[in-house]
Amino acid sequence: MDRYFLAEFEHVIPSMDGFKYMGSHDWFHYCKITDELYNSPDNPVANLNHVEITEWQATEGKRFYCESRPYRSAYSDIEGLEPDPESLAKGKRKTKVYYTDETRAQVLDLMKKAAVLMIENEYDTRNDRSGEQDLINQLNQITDLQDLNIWREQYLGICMPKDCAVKLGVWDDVHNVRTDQINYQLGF
Amino acid sequence: MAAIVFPSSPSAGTQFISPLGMMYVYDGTAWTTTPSTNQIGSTNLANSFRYRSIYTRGYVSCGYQSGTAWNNCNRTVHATDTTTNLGTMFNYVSAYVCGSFSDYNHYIYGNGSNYYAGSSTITGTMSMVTETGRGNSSSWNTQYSRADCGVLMNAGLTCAYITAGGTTATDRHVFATDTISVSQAVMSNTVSGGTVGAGMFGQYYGYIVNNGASQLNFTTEIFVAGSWGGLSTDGQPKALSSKYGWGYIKNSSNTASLSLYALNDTTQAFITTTNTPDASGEENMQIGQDWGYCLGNYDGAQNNNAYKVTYATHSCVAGGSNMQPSGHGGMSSGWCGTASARICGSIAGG
Repeated sequence: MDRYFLAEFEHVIPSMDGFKYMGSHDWFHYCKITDELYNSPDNPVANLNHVEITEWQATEGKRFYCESRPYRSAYSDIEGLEPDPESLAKGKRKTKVYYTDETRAQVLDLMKKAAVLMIENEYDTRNDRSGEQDLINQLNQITDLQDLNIWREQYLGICMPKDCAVKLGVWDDVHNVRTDQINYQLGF
Repeated sequence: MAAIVFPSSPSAGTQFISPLGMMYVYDGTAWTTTPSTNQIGSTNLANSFRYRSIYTRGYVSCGYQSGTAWNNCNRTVHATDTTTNLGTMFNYVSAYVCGSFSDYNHYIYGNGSNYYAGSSTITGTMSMVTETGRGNSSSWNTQYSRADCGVLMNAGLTCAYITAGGTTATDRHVFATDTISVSQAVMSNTVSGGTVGAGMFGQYYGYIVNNGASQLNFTTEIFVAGSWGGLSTDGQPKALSSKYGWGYIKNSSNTASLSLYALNDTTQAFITTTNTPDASGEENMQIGQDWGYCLGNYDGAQNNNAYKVTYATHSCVAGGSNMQPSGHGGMSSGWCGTASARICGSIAGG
């Protein structure tokens, strides 16, 4: 049986039987590990903070990562989806894949798990863990993807998407650029 | 810029620096760039292609994730495989861009698209010396509006040729004067203008790829049809060039395959393949001295996947968080510049 995890490999990502690297967002990695390897002494994430996610989150959910529009754009030919006639008319290959309530909840859960992992890893480098649980509690109260993206920029220094900046009134629609200074530093 | 006109009546040992920044030596019979082995310790070290400058770091800029484009820049130190976000660097957010680098500056063409999938004549640039943005200037504007174009850079890093991305016409960026112009007589690539293009380049030739390939001879500035090693790359996979005599690119379209193909950059002959960690395209490929990087790509999602390709062994290894760009959740369709710790050659771009 395969299991799916988020973990951060700082240097080289392992290459071994029973382990499959599945890409990355932010500064963590998606990976698939067989149950046998995970329960063995060779488990590559045994000494790392890691969190289990669902197969859907590791394969489909990651395509929605950070997406706070009602949909994601997909190459219709590559994903075998019905092309969007409007896009085709403009010579574009992309089509829209809309969230359902279920997929939105799954993506929110995935992004929260990733955020907790990044917080824990950061606190592991510090002598003082005060504030960590408050931050995680604050994160866990977020129920909306736009709010989560805004929170990520404030606390993790990860730039928010355009729709969030528009919502906050910090987007210049004429020049299509942020009007404020983005702080890329950790906010805790 | 015309074909090279060598001095008449040379004697053995006569040296000549071409407008492309390469030094030629007359060996008594012909003009040569020997020693062709480019080994350190050679008497012509300062002017050999591989060691004219020593690449030590690079910059990956712009790109996008989920419909939002970025304008920040990350520095990668090649000795340690470490990437650091330098923050906002360009005036405009942009993606589906291409770019180049001189000895001192990093350029993003199509930077003024103002939208992740737009088209533009505006060029954004940063100093790789001070790591600060240089803003925008009309003298850096391309003559043609482009999106997802390709760039070919000559051996001396004195010129970049910007082509495809909506037109077969080619802009020439001369780094010594830091201006962009078009020669009407030459430089129309032989493949479709398309909306995408991928560029690969070596010592003598550059290639623009868009469901076919076109070879630019840097000396004559003339394009001819290319064979491209029998591959059929649609331009969405981007190429990693080197100073080793070969470059790398994927076949077909984005997310098509794990295989990265090595092609001879003079003969276009297929050399070998190596597997990358992801089936991807729209890569941000960063050239290095002895190895290069992919720093973010599209593998079904815009991501921060990083891997390192060692030129001598054609080997590829996935990099961890230390190698990955940051400041965003993911980035594909950005571009990279490469900087040198030491410039040995006698001609340096502006």
